[in-house]
Amino acid sequence: MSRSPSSDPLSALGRFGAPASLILTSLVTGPKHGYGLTKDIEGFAGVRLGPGTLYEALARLEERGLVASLPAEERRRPYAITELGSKALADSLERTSRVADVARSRLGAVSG
Amino acid sequence: MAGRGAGAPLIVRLALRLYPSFWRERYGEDAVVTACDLVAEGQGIASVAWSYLKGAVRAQQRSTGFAGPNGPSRVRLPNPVLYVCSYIWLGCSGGMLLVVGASEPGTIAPRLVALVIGLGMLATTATLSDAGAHIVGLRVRRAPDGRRRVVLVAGGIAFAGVSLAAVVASAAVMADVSVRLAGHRDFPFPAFASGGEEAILAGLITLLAVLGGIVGYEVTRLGRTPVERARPWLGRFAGGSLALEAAMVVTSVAAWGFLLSAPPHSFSVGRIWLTTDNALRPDTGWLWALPMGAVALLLVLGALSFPRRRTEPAVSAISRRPALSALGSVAVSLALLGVLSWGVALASRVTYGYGYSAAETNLQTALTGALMNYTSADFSFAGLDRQTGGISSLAEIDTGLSYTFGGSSIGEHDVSVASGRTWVVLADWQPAGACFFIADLRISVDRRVAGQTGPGTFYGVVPYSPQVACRARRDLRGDESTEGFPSP
Repeated sequence: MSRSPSSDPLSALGRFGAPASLILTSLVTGPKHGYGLTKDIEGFAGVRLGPGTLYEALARLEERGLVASLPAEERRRPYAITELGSKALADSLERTSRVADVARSRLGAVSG
Repeated sequence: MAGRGAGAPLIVRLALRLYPSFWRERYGEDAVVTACDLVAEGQGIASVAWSYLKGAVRAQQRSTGFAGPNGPSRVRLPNPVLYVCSYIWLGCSGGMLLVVGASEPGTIAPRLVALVIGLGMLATTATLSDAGAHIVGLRVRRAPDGRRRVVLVAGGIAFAGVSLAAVVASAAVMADVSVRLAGHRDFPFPAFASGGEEAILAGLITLLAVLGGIVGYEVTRLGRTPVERARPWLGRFAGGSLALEAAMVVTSVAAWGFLLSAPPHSFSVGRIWLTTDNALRPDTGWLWALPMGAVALLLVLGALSFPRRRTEPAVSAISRRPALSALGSVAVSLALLGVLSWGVALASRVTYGYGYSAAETNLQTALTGALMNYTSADFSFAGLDRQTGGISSLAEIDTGLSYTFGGSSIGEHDVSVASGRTWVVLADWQPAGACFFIADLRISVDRRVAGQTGPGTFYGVVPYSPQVACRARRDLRGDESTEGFPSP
């Protein structure tokens, strides 16, 4: 049942795993700064990350090389997803998708 | 980030200020702009500030720990919070010790004082241990492999042992203080039932918390062992340091409450008799409490401004001054210790003279009364305890003191009296635990009085005397002098 943290860097983030997934998803479409991330995530997920949570998750992602901060533009610092981050997001989505498929099929079996 | 947060609400800037410096350098500017944007679009200032505040606490907790082999550092003793609590305690207890008024000795809740003093000592010890562990941990991180790592890890474990010993010693001193406050001089275990329970309990809780922090730190630092799989659980156990944090906060609040509400109190610590006054009484206390508070505030700001280290590879590049930072932490700890020592030393000097001089003065007054009676009674001390031939007894002479004939002195304003025709012995018990006495011999005697046979006035003290033993009698013995009271 347990999975080693190195094989699933997003799960290893613990409580910041979910915000990290949202951030990576948002960054797939291009670099964004903190406020841009907040608005984008709110738009596609309906979730508003608190700024403290946002930057904590960003810091953790950057520590693991999943996100890179770009040179500041005026006072804003954009962040971009890295290749490692893209792979981690893809792996995470794949696992989530597998679980979702199983859940859907089982729900169908029960209801149908 | 200083000076660049213009536009963000003050409370938000303060919350951001609480982040570690490396964090502020990396994310601070963007965080300020994000806060401005969020507030501008209508999000509450308090909500934004609260979010940053929670993040700052977590960031500080992570940044003061050491990174594991692959991941982020675990939560360990929250260094800044520890500093803050230590300084709050330092400020209030320093003020309490410094504001010494010559008020009438009374009674106090000595256990509360013992608790404040003891927990403050433990906080200081834990702070010093934390700073030391930080330095050791940095060195271990820099030598991750080979013999040097083994040596450093062994050193780290030894350091943990020393830290534990220091904490145990602090707990022992705290217990000793409690027992002494309860009036028991010989530190017998039954005394716990009458004075030291709270202090002992607090000491044990703190000891467990610090032990948990150290054990958790050592285990997580040793790397990939079977025990490491239990790291999340151990991390929570190490979070027992939060109990320490909470204990200090409660203690600080209690101490401030004590200062704000307490009337003048007197109590003893070992051989020192302390009298405290309300620290916020404008005529005296404020003058002392204000500079102490300023010192504490400066120390807190200094502690918060220290750059915290991160050892994760992606961030280590921005941590350029770990050694300087570690030295800063130690410097703050030493400053804390210095201020504490200064406060205690000053208070001790003042109160030592006050407490014992009261006994000495009272005995001199009693002797004057006794000599008046002696002269009136045709040069005899025999009638000190009764009215004879129209001559007032000693108790009827207006000395402001009470007298006990044949019994023990029950306090510094109650003088125990024993006399013969040509001699008198007066004893006065100090609640600090010393029995002062004066023996006055008008002529030479064959049988010794307080160890003396020749005429004269002899001043003596019996250190570490229980109250029941402070009874004037012919064979009372102690350190004696003809020049004045010896130091107990």
